[in-house]
Amino acid sequence: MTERQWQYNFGFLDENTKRMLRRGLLKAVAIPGYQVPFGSREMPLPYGWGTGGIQLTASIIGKSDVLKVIDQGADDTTNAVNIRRFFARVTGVATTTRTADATLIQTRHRIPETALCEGQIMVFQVPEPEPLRTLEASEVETRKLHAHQEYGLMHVKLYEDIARFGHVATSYDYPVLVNGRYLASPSPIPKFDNPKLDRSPALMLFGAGREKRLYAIPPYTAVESLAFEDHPFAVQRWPHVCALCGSGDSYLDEIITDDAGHRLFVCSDSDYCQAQRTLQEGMA
Amino acid sequence: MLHPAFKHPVDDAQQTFRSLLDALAQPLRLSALPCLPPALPGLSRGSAALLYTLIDRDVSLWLPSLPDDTLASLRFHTGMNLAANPAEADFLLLTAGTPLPPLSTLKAGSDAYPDRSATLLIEIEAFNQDQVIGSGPGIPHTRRFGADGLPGDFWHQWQANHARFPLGVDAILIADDRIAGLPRTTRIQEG
Repeated sequence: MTERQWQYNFGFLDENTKRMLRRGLLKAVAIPGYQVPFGSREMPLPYGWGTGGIQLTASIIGKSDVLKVIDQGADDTTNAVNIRRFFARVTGVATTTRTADATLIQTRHRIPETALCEGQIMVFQVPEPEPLRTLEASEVETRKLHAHQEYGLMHVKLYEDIARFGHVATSYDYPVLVNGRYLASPSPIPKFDNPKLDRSPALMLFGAGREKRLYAIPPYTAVESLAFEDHPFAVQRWPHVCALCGSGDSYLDEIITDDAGHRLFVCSDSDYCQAQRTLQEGMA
Repeated sequence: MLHPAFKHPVDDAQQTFRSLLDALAQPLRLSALPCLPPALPGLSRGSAALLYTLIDRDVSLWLPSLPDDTLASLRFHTGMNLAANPAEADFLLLTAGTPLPPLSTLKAGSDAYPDRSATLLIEIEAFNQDQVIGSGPGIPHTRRFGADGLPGDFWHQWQANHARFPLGVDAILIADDRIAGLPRTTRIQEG
């Protein structure tokens, strides 16, 4: 277990910054899916490595929290290991890899396979909070589009997919309508995870450090993935099962095993995969 | 004379904030305030905890008339900026018995920035379950709720506030050491 470093304030950030973030979070929860601007601070790692998520986590974490950090579903990849160790150092809180034991889960680009429960908080690291940004470069204009709930541009983008490929080819960062009002980016989670956002019992918080925006989806809030009547939203399905645990309904990573093109598919969620294997060993 | 604030400023503010976040994420469900500072004359312990957690020199606060030592203590602990009138305030604290300013006159944000809106901290006498039925984000189906000591037409005004979404104000109701959140998304049915 990593020792708390007492030279830093609890959670690294100073109290004024935490208060600013906290006030922003309360407004974000009150206006689901709306992007609240905040004064993003310089963090001890570069933008693009989860500074938004880290600042949110730092402003909400407390001594009794149990923190889990995942990167693409895995607890043991560079980003996850470093962020988990960072918080262990600057707060001294307990950390875990088990989804069910965590009160606070910071994530890069996945939602755990294990169903979340009431009282848990997910913190998403978001590179680009504005779903309309690739379609409209101006912040002034995108603010107007949100104000007027004018989301036709996004429908055109999805329609162009259908015109070119015969189906909506967008497979991650798939835009959602939150509470029937604001179009939001779910962060680059695979669209496989989008249904987990809808009426989740957990509170979902999103932080974008470089873009200086935060937003939220409260528990039990309708989150609808955009679609058309004749092209309803659907998640991807694969013929493969996980090579380690045999799960057929989790999100899989492709692993290249040699230069001859051999590969295998394993669960992206390392905690879920481990739990499945433990379960099977118990039964065997 | 100055009154003391939180015993452990960092931890107590964090725990109070989590209680606030819970309250707004699960509207009309009671959250306990786990760390209470000593009460200030004219102000409940819960209100003091929320002010120490939310207020600093970056936001403006409207207060009803309060004893001088209360104001001096709050100014010392938070560095607050007092708003001259309710319409300009980011936060408003309404102590028990303070008349409610019409919600429609408070800061409701703009179309592009609905977050630039007021948050009301309202002291009430007690919570009950028999005034209204709420629904909306954070409420699985519906939730029964009531608060003794709210102004008579509060729920009526709240319906108008909800109808302005995404503009509007948000409220936290405080009964001593327990709070309930009322974000603008909460739809209220009377009866």
